Amino acid sequence: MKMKRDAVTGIVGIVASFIYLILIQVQTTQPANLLEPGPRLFPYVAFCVVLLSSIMLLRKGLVDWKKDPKPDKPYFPKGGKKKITISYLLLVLTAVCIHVFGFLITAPFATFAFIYDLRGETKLKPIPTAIISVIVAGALYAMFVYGFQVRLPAGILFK
Amino acid sequence: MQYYLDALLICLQPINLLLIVAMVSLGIVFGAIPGLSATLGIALLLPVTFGLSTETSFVLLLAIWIGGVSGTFISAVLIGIPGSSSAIATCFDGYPMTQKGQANKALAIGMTASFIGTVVSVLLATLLSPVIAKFALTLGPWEYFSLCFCAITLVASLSKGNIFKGLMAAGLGLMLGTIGMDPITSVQRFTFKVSYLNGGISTVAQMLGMFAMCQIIRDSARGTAKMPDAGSAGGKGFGIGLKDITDNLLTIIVSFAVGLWVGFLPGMGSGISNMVAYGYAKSTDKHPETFGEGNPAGVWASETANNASLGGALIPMMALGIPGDGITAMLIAALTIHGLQAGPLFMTNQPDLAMLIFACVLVSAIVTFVIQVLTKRWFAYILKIPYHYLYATILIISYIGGYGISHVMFDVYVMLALCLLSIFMSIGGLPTSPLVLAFILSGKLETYFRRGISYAHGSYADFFTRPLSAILLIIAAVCVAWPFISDHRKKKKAAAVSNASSDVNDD
Repeated sequence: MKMKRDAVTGIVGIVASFIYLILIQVQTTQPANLLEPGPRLFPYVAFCVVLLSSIMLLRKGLVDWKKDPKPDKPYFPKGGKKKITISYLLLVLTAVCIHVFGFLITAPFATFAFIYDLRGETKLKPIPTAIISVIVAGALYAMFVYGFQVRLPAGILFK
Repeated sequence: MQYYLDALLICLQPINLLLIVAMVSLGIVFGAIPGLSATLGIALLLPVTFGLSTETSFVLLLAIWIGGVSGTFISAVLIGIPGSSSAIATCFDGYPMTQKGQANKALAIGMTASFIGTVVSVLLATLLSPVIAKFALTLGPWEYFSLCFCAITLVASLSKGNIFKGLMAAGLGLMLGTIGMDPITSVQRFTFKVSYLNGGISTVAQMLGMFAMCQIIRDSARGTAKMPDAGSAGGKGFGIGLKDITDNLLTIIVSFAVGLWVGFLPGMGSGISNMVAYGYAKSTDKHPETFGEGNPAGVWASETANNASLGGALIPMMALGIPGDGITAMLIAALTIHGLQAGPLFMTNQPDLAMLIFACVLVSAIVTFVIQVLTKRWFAYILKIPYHYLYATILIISYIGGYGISHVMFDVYVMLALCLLSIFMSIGGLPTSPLVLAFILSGKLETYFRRGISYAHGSYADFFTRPLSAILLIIAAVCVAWPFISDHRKKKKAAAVSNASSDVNDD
């Protein structure tokens, strides 16, 4: 039987807070002889806030589950999980390509890919879409680099 | 008074007026496009001012500032993505209004509230600067800590669904805020020996990842990615009447006071005032459940407050030389470039320039309003752009914004990581606004708390014994306790009603 979403969020929160607690020990140091609580105080406060609220959320999820064992309505419709995974991987791939090949080369391809990814039910013709992608990417590059004097990544291959 | 009139005449000189119109228009564009901001506009203009006179430089910088802060509501209302952190709360009701076909009204509210907020706050700033600056000197880290704490609890307690979700999101915001060098002893925390993390997570990367990127791909995956009704967005007429203002007068006055005060407090700014004012408007409204579903009061509150912060931020900048927010810090830098030192002596030694700053903000606010009224019908054209073209462009701009501030790809990867966090938060039903507020305030919260204890030689008592600090902490405690008290009262009432009805049935 599937748990309620609040209960799952609570469990994830508890696990995350304990990972954070371990990181506090590993990734922070406490200087001696301070007149104030020191740099570890706020991480501990954040840990306590997340842990306590996660426990309360887990409790709420379990109480709701007992009252009504029916599972929650799925957050994404059918195929939504696959779609958001692809969209996110596309975002990561774009970042990597910008890093390697630079903005100017990557942007037209990325724009084209984003347009196709976000098109939904709309039918698109590849050639006009490609032309629009090149125009959009070129216009943005010209506007930022020449208009606003913003430096954009040149790509580690061309540095 | 003579100095002020002279300054007004300088602003109204044809060349200066033309510059104001041009810079205000550019500022509106910067404010409206997510990832761009008035801060970036000022940063880009600063080098341009090196060769200009002090007067012309300030005309340019102040005009782009006013246009930029005012323009942020446009994208918040039309596409649900804030132009900057000062319009986050505007999205909560502005975008639902657009989805309901009331974009024309939401835009008109945004313009009018921005105008009221800026004009009245700058007039007050001009009059009250010296008096209020004196009072600010009496506040210590205790009051500043309590104010930050109160703001976080207020927003967390008003989160949709469950207070624990709000608190958990706020806790996550605090966790993110602790990354980087600790603000007092400069000890590195959670940097994993990555030097890019020493300064903490970039606010721009955080905002673009959690708002722009996450919203676009999440809506697309959920099948809710479509543009709002464009037909009604470009509606005829101004969109609101005098009755709309009088109906929301109390919200406007309270939000204005909140905005002015938050803007006035050093280190705060429009990014915080809009959230606090929104939270207050929601908690005092007769129908708080309608907030988030297109209640015009939410837009009035947010837009009045964030623009009132402009005048508020000018006060410590002019009178004390302390920046009210990031943008005023840049304006102080601009003063320094021109050989001037903001601070208590600035207003007495350079009254002509001090008054020019106030006058230029006033003229820029009026010009902004006029430009927005004249071009409002074209704002809605953004809605006629097919979703996939517009949002693909915004995704590309997000990469530029993520990279543009620090010029390192690391911030782009941070942006993507926060986008992923935001997706998981959405699935778990956790709200984003408490996280954003806690993240923005975490540094200040920690600094003021630790400074307060340090100044009091290790004592915590001053947080509770200083009147203003104590009042703010009581408000924060009530905010956290209120949902439970309210729940308990509702249950008691329901039990009483069911008992009464069973008694009637027994009879």
